[in-house]
Amino acid sequence: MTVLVYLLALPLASELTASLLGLRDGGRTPWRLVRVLLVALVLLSLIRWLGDMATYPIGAALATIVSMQIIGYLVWRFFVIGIRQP
Amino acid sequence: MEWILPLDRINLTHADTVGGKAARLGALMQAGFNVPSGFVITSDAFLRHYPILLDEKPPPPTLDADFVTTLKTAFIAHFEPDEVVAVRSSAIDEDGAGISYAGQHATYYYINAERLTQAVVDCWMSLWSPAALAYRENWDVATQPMAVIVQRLVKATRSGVCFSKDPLEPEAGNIIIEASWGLGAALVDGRVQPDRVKVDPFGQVTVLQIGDKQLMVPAQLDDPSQSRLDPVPDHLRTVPVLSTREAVALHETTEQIETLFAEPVDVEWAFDDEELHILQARPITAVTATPRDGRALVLFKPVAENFSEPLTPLSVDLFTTILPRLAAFVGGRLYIDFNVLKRVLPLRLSNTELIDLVMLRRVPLAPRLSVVQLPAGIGILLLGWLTFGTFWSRSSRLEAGSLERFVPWLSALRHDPSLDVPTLMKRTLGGRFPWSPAHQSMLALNISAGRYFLLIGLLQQLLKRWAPAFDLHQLDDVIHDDTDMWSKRMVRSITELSALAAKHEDTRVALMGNDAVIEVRRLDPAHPFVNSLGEFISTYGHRGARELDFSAPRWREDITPLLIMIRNQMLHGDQVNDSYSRHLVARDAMRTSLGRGLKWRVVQKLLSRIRYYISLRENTRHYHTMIFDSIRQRLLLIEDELLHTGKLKCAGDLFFLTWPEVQAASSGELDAQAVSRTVRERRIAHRREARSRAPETFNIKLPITDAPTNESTLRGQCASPGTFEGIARVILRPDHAALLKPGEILVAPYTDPTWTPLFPSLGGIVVGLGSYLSHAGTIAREYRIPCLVDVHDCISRIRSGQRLRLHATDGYVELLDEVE
Repeated sequence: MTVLVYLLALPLASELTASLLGLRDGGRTPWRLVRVLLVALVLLSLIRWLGDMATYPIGAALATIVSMQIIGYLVWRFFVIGIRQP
Repeated sequence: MEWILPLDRINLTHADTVGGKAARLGALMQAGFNVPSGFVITSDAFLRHYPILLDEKPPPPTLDADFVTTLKTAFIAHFEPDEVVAVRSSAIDEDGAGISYAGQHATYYYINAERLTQAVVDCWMSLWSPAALAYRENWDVATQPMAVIVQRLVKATRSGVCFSKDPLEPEAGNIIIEASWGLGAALVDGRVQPDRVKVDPFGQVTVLQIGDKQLMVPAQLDDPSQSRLDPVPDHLRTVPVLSTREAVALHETTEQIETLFAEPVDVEWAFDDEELHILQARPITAVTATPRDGRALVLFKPVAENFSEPLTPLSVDLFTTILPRLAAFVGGRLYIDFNVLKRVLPLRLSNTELIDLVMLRRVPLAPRLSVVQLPAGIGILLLGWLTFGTFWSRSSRLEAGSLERFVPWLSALRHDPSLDVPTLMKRTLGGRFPWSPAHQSMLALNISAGRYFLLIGLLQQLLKRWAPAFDLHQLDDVIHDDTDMWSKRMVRSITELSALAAKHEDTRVALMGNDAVIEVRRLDPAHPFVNSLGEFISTYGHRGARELDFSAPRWREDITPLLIMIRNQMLHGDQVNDSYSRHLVARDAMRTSLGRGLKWRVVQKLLSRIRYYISLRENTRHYHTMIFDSIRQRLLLIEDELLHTGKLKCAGDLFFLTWPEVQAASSGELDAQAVSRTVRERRIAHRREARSRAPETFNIKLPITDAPTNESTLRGQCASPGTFEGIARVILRPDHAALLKPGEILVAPYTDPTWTPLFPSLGGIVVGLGSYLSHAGTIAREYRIPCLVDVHDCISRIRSGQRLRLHATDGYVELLDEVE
């Protein structure tokens, strides 16, 4: 069940992160705010409904997305495009 | 000062006084190759008679008596009194690594002692022959002194040339031999159809094409005044010139010469009965650049249109700092690694299918999953989604207005003195922190918007199933509605400027004048046209031809191409574009086929996404080209400083250095002479690359494409469907567009944004480069102009004035009669 919730929470966490970051991008801010709230509501409902069985996988999903963003950036910055300083 | 040097005392270090050709012959002689003996009249002798080198032809010199005596003495010392010799040019630049001067200067055969002095003078004077003058002007090189080789004339029964690398397939390792009867002059002058032999790296003859050799230059001429071209006896015309054994011997000798000079060579050879003589060995200047590491690469078509001319070395060097290792520049053009792509895609695609996909020719219709590559593929996709999925999602919901925040952000970076150029490149183009606003990753947004190509593929599949009655050729008409975007606004502004110019007599006269820039500058600054032009430049001045290359001037710096476009539009631009009505008709046809149910709504949603990504791609392009402009302006500041301190000679030289070289020149570690030499070599190499068509692949076999059905058909890729019959106009540069008349078919080597104002009045477009995603395709689809891209030989095969029938939908163009 924990794995299932994690797999379900992963795209929701990605959507939440994208919508939150989208607020910084500007344009259609109210609509983006609604998306953030809607996704947050779904995640919170899962926690309320399933308790700890959802809290940890959802937390892990959010951590996965955030950490992968940072790791991805660092890998891209230092290994894919290289660290050559001409 | 030595006027004469025997060939056997010369080596490569003498190149400055005996020229490249003689220096190489001397080096070959010293290495033991069989080179006809003789001597060289050095450039000192030339400079004794021409102390000042002029670009214009001087009168023949009065020969120094001492020189004539020395020349006669040398002849007696090297040859029999009645022997005939060859007198050959060896200009100081000739046969160097840069440019070859092949055939530009004179060679004289059958010269005896009596005619030697005149032959030497004629050889010197050939430095100013019309061909040599044009050649130097073309390559932008100065006149150099000339040495002259006086060499025993080989009584050649057979001769020819041998390339140690096939210029068309340099990576294959084959050598190519061309051979004909008699002396080699007929062959190198292109007067004979020679035999062509290909020998593989293992010394096996793999191809033997026997030419019909109708003419030959005999080794001996009884009467020097008679024609030196003799007919080949009938029984020899179609007989192979070389035996297999001789071809293999040539292969071995050529390989040894290549090893000696450590570079691919083009060897002129001759057989005097059974004995092989080497007459010349020069670097192959026509071999295009190849990847240094032997990687399998495919030309990256989605951006190939931007590399119609190769990037200059500084642009390549700076872009390399932000380039993923999946990609590589070869000869200033961008390629991607074929094998890496093959490994990461979890699909079973043949080489042909994968190349087609990269070239954006077609999406595989029924791709099969590869069980072996599936785990790795899914892993990579998952990893890609986890790391970049958020950005992908953000870019799917951006509004055009939110992109405008990019301008002040870039301006602040551009004026930050603490950032050097590579850092500015990385900050603006190399990807930002994941939490940075999307407008700070403008290039990434532009690339991610290319996904509309996949969505169109999906839509086509759905329509085939759901609306079989709908004509898919109308799909582009359905997609392109009246969505506003920067590229359309720019074209509209040019149309408005041309209308304004047409309204006023003074602007009409100014634009029609020979020097429109000066005439327009003379207009009253308060003139409405001047005001509008100023507004246009303030919005679009960062754009121009070859925007990716930092060496190319922008419209703000040089408005000539812009004024020519306005003039062209003024002359021919009153065309009514009924694209929107065609959109409405096509949309109605689609709705009738689909009905008004769920299918129609799904298709509408897909269409709206496709339109969004098309406009995102065009709009982000407007902004990210500002980055290229900003970097160019920073580089120009550095160049000004180097010019001011005498470290650079000419404006534009900076772009032929690498960034470390720019830094070394600034700090004084690299002296002005070394910089000048490097710049000169690179300018020549760049010009050579620009004149050759970029190879589509390296180290992979190209898929076999459909051959033209006949000689009057050229095949290409459909970028905008439709058919049109009309007159072709071959235009090589957008500032020559004034030649175009409304309704003609534009035939161009490439197109970039500066061409697009021409499009509305055109009947059709045929482009040598490009793909479905290329700018020509995108804009042509907007205007519903049939457009065929990737038509390889369009420039060489189609002539201006020729009538063409363009079947863009079916991917070919018919060459009809010539009317002019």
